Amino acid sequence: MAWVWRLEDRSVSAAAVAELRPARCRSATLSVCRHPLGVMPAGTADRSHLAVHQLAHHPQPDAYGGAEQPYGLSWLISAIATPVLREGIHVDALTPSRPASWLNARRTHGAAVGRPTTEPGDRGDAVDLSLETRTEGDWTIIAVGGEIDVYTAPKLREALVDLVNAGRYFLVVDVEKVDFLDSTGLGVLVGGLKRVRANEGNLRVVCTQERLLKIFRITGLTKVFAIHDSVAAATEG
Amino acid sequence: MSQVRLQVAPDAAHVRVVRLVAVSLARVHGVDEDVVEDVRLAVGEACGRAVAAHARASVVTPIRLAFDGTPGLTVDVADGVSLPEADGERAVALLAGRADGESAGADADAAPVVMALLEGLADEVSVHTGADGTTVQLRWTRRP
Repeated sequence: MAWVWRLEDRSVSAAAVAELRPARCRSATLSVCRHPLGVMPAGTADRSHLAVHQLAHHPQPDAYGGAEQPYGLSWLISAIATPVLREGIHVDALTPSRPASWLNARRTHGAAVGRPTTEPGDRGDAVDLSLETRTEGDWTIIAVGGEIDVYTAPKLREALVDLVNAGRYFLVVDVEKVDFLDSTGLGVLVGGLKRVRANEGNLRVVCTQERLLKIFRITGLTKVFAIHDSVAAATEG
Repeated sequence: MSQVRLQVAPDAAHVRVVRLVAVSLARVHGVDEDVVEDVRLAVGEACGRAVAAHARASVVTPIRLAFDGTPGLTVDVADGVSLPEADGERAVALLAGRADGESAGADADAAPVVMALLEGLADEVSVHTGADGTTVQLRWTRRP
């Protein structure tokens, strides 16, 4: 098992990468991304806001330009600047079979620097978003439930990116069980549409709820998305 | 006149709390039940925008909200990100990073969508930017 880290922020030193490399790993690359909206910790302008994606070995090539594919990006780690990154994250506590230890390590880290940060998946059941994926012929149906907002939308984005990376370019996003959808959620759907179209695929939406349709109308997205009454209608043709 | 003030850390996880408060106060102040969903979404959008603005500018001060039953509901959502003094269209342009040739990066695309939603959902929207930050005021009148 190789843990793969990706480094996208040049301000993180090679020494930090070396220290983060788990002892048990054959190889390690570090990935630190600018914080996406929603998991930005408190900080000041002169400190980089960093997010570390935990990636695990996967045999297939991926869209990240490497030979490794993310093992889900569900453990998004917040860290602030290199020294904290070095001190706060205990990578050797990680094992592939016990991802919870990673979260525990992260929580400790958050407490240690006194900067509470939050992220989807880090509050137990607090993330009010459910995702169920199934396949029907060429189509992959993602049934979403709960609330898609500025906090939970990254989870949906991640699911769509993972599907596209896995070669699923014909997606139906079923929002019939969604109670709430905001502009961040719309942005994720638009992003998903762009991704599948880049691969000559399609992304269709199943929605009959008037209050959600209203949001699509106000934002002009009824012209962008094919919105269907049912999964059966969406997967036809 | 009754007023509720709320301060939240600029954290996306708290936007949901703000929405719940907004819905509750909309009902208290007699906003039509059909419009309560609009209040939920619009106040969430305004708050989410403020959270994103704080994140971009690395500002850690709280987002400040004031709810006024006037009757109907008036909600002020104030961030702490300093901008040039402006109102109306000019202020909206500043929020979108379109003014002064300033680049607002990847988030610039989202601003028109947020403004479209706010204008589509609230009876009245006003935006004021200044050195102390931006205040987005949303207003819903009480239906007879």
